[in-house]
Amino acid sequence: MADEPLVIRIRGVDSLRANLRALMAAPHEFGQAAREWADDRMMESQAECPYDLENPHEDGTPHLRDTAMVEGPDMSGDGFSIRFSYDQSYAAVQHETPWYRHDWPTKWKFLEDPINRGIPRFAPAMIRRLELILQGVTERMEFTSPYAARRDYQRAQEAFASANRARIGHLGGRFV
Amino acid sequence: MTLWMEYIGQYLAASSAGIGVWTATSTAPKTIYANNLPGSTASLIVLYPYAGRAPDWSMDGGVIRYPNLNIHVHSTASDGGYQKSIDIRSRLDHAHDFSYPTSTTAQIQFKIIQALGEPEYLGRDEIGRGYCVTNYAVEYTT
Repeated sequence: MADEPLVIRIRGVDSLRANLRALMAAPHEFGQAAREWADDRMMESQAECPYDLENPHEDGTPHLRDTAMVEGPDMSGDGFSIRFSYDQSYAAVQHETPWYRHDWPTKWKFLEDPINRGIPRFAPAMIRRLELILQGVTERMEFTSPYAARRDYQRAQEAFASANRARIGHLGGRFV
Repeated sequence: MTLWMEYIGQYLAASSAGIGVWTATSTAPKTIYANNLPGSTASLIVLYPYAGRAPDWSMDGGVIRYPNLNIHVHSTASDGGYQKSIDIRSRLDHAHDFSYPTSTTAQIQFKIIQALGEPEYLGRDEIGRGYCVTNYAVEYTT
């Protein structure tokens, strides 16, 4: 009996190559996914940020809430960083002082708490982005400026106000 | 029932560095408080708990909790409580594997306490004392 050659067929090599090629973009993609996660955290933070309704800031300085900023991702080495900030001289005191009186939902720890609350959602966001990379889905949210979270917060507030007006209309009839 | 941050208050008071007094005596007034800034004008330490991370469940049904702790030092000293904050950090940062209460069956096991940053001087409080703040991440099981 003649020796027959041993044949081993490996299927899916092309798919493997394609996936590996797609994964080359993973660090950048993870950075973008983290930025989306960070923007969500900052919007929660802005809702909890103290806001002095009795001070109209007529001198032109912004309210603390309006100085919120998310910057990044800054890619460096094998990682990336994202920076959250509020830019007022009294920001740290407001953030670290528990005995100041605040109207709900504003509070102390208005930045640290939303970030800590969001940590369990960070890994799922990265896994979801990895799935999208491997599925070849390329549609992504666009970031145009470090002020994106601030702009989105404003947009969200306008949407909430609009929805509330509509609800009042339903409850009170068309004369309200 | 004694709360976890009250045990940390006791742990601070047990330091040989003389950080403060948890249980007042006839000669030594209380100087470490939990979740309450007293009306006293003296130098004092206040421990404020706040939300940290979500808890984990271990395979044997136990719960590992991760609250955070904000420690304020209000001080009439010229450094506004900075040195006291350093003493507290030396006592707490990376303190690990200790249990409370120590006199009866332990109810809380502290796995580790980690400083989240350096002490920060925040200025003067309403009665002119300097105050410094340092945050800690706490990990404990019950």
